[in-house]
Amino acid sequence: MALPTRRPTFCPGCGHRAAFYALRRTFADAIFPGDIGCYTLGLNQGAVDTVHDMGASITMAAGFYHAYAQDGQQPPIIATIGDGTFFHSGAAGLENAVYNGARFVLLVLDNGTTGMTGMQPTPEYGKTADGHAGVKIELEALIRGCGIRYLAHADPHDIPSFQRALLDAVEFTHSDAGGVAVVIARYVCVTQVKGLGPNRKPLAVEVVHGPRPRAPETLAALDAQWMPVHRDRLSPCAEAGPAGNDIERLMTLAGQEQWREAAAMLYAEHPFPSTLGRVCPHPCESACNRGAHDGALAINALERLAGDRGRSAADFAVRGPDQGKCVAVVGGGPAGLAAAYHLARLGYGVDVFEAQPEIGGMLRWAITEYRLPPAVLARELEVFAALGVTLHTGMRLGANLAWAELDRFDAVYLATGAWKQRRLNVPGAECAGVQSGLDYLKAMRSGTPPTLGRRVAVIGGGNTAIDAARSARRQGAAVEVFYDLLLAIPAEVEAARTEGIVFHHEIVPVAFAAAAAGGVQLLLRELAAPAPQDDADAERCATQSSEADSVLVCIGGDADLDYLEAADLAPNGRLAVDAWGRSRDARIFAGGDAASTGAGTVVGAINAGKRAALAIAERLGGRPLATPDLQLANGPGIAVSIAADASSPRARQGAPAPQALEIRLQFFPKTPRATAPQRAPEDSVWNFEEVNFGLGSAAATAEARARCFHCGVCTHCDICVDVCPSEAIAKVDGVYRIDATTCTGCHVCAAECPRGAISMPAAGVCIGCGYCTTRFECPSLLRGADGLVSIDRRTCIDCGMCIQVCAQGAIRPRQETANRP
Amino acid sequence: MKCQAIIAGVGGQGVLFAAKVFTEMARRRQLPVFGSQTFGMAQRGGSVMTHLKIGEFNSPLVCEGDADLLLGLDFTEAHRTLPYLHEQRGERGAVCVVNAPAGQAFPDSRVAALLGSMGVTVHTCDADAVALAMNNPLLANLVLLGFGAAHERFPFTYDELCTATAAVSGALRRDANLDALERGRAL
Repeated sequence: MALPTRRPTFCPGCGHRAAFYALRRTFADAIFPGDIGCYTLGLNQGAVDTVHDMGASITMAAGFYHAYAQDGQQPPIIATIGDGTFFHSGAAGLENAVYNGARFVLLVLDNGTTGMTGMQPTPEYGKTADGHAGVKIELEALIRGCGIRYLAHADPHDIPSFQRALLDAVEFTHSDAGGVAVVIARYVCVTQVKGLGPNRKPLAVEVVHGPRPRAPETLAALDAQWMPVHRDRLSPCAEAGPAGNDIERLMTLAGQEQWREAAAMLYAEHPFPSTLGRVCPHPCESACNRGAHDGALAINALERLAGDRGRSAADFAVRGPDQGKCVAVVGGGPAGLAAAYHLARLGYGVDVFEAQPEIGGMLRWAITEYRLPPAVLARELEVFAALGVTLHTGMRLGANLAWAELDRFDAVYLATGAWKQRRLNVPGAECAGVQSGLDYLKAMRSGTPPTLGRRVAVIGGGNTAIDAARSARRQGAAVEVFYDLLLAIPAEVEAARTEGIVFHHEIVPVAFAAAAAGGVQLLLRELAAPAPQDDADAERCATQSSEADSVLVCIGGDADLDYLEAADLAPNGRLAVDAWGRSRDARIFAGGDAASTGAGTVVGAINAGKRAALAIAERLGGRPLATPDLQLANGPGIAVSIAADASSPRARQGAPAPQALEIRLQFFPKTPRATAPQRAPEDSVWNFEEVNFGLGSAAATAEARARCFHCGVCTHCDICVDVCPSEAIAKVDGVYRIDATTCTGCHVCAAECPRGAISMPAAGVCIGCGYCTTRFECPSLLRGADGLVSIDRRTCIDCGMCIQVCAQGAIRPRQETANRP
Repeated sequence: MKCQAIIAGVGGQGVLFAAKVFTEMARRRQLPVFGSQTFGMAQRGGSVMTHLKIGEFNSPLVCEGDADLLLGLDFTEAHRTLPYLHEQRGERGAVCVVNAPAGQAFPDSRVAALLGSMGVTVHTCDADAVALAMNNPLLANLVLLGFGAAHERFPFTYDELCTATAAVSGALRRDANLDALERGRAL
């Protein structure tokens, strides 16, 4: 006759259970030397490997360390000991371990009593066993007295923060100055205080039961739809980026110092990584899940370095097989050039017509040299000649280029930009000394710097305004910027401030006038103050005034579309086109700032040019534009590399990007964002040399390697293999295989994947997987013959911990309903 | 008088309290007593047992085959501790008092036969049911003690049991504890 084994287990609500659960969930392969006390029962949860004598957790941990260290190995070792046993016989072993240079983590489970033998006080308590006042001995002081330099506190009831504390401690044991790290987990003995104690609120739970994904009789194998699947998803950075770059892959390659491969990958999407890496407002960084953790990745700086290190696109880009069709691109700015780049790579003949003496558009004629050095741009522009794109400079449509001359082309892409400067509609806007900021920048970039005078006022808060202000500062002027909205890249604004440029927030001009001493008098108004009704009213509405020798007006530009038939114009004065650049005329496409869709930024123009290239290719008989396939989830980006290879891993990343909540932040220690060195302001204001030196390759590699979460993309970190409670996940030939007959469907792998790369539906009901009863092992969780779990309300003390344990989301706070007593 | 007894149960059932009552009874009669018990795991669902040696003994633990009395607060734990009971010694066989529904203490006929051949007298008492009826399952230990005290070979009298129980009980529990003894005796 078999008697039931009575395996002792922690009391319901015991903090030890929470600690061992978190310990085992964080480290699958660690060595867990244990000790003697209630917490010996951690062996039920797989987090106690040795039990020898009191204090042996520490001495054995030290021994394990030295034994492995002589073979050059250092597995994580986490010893557990209670406060009572530590006071009794732990300290001597700890001194020995510290003195002899052992490295391991000691987790002190401090419940302030000797629970196992009937609540005798420990020296920390301040009372002797017979109730007399004793000399209170502080645990922390004793631990520090043993020579411990790393002492942290953590609460196991918050599993993520506890995991983080343990991971930090293990990291310390591996650091150069590392040694023994001690983590104290402090909570009350629930049996001693007969409840949760003063600092924890009761949280009654219930198990949700409902239709199960599989019936108990089909335990043989889990239905495919309920199985976890390793499925790469689109990273939020890539989703947010208009250029269509595979940023996650860029980080992987940068982390491996494969700069050439990184550049090749970027050149598959656009020809300007070195340029974008300098001038882009980087919406990708704004979407980085790391942003709220410890600062977004320096994606922009890495793109720059990949472009700079990867040599010219001319080395990578290959002209596609000749399609026998040709396309005219009118406008050699970023939109037109991006279209030309992709069209040439798809095998179309491309002629670019540029009004200015050189191609480049805003990149060449407006963006200042200290942000985008001419040599960098020139190198990026080399690719067009290499791709066989015919460049016609000095050709302006409607002037020395007639429409009829475009008739020989199978399609025409209009990307003529927005060069017509808006004028301020205020009295005196035409007076001497007031000029367009864009004209000023163009003159500067043409090698004919205008004379500005000593005092310069800049009107506007966009990137052009900042460029104009910093250029004027480099000409020796004292510069003030008046703006209503600050839309420029924050780092540029900050750099301008350090260069001594003064910003006036929400101050707008109401009138200009010639000043008595020469120069211009600016009448200004706070944005909140009443606006003038007419010109005569302007002076009365001014709330302040200023004087300047020159005023640079940078309030944006409009497309100069005189060359077009009026019928094609959109109400906003831009060419009406759809998202793919298609106009009413099937042969005419348009994009960039000239079109109704607008570009706004260089990266927006690149996006427009790429879309137009694909639309033109489709029109000319190329592959159909499968727009939903090429569009990167819900973002603006289009990935040409998917069009090129529909079976690429990228093409399978269709699922929406993981949000920050899906990232297990506890696996990622906080590491500050890498910042590129800058030219000192006292130096930078005297010349037009590049201000931002960019990240060095070592710093960039470290940034990519240490900081990228690789959101949604499996990095083969093996955490899923480690956390699977039924050992159903195995790595075979570098690929994860999940055994449907052993997988219980517990969802733990999907919940624990640091980066949301495992897809699996959560049932939201108890599926009878048994994870909670085996790994958390609370006696108040009763598992029936059908495998389903229910709560034993007689013994449950409402600690609420099991809610964090059930990965299926089947244990939830108890819903108070009217019919429940 | 010399008596060796085993009290067996599961953590939380009050094995240690029952042992405390025994030592109090012995103390009041000025008899030497050893009480040795499982610690710690008692509160965590494990098997718990107390060795009681009342009278002149030199060592604290009861040897297998030496116990005169087995109080089983749980019938599976009673099975586990059966080897401690002694075989028939002349007139005297050992006594086994078990908390179980009537006739259910040793459902396996082979076990019952073995006990019969050893001369062990088995008494079952559904102390759990009585305690539940009193709305307090924790009282099962005292119900079983009250029931056992009615046996002629119980080493102490019922009055001694009541006095000792009252002495070691907290003021709030005293009346309920004595009530439980009485209900056990009445079975």
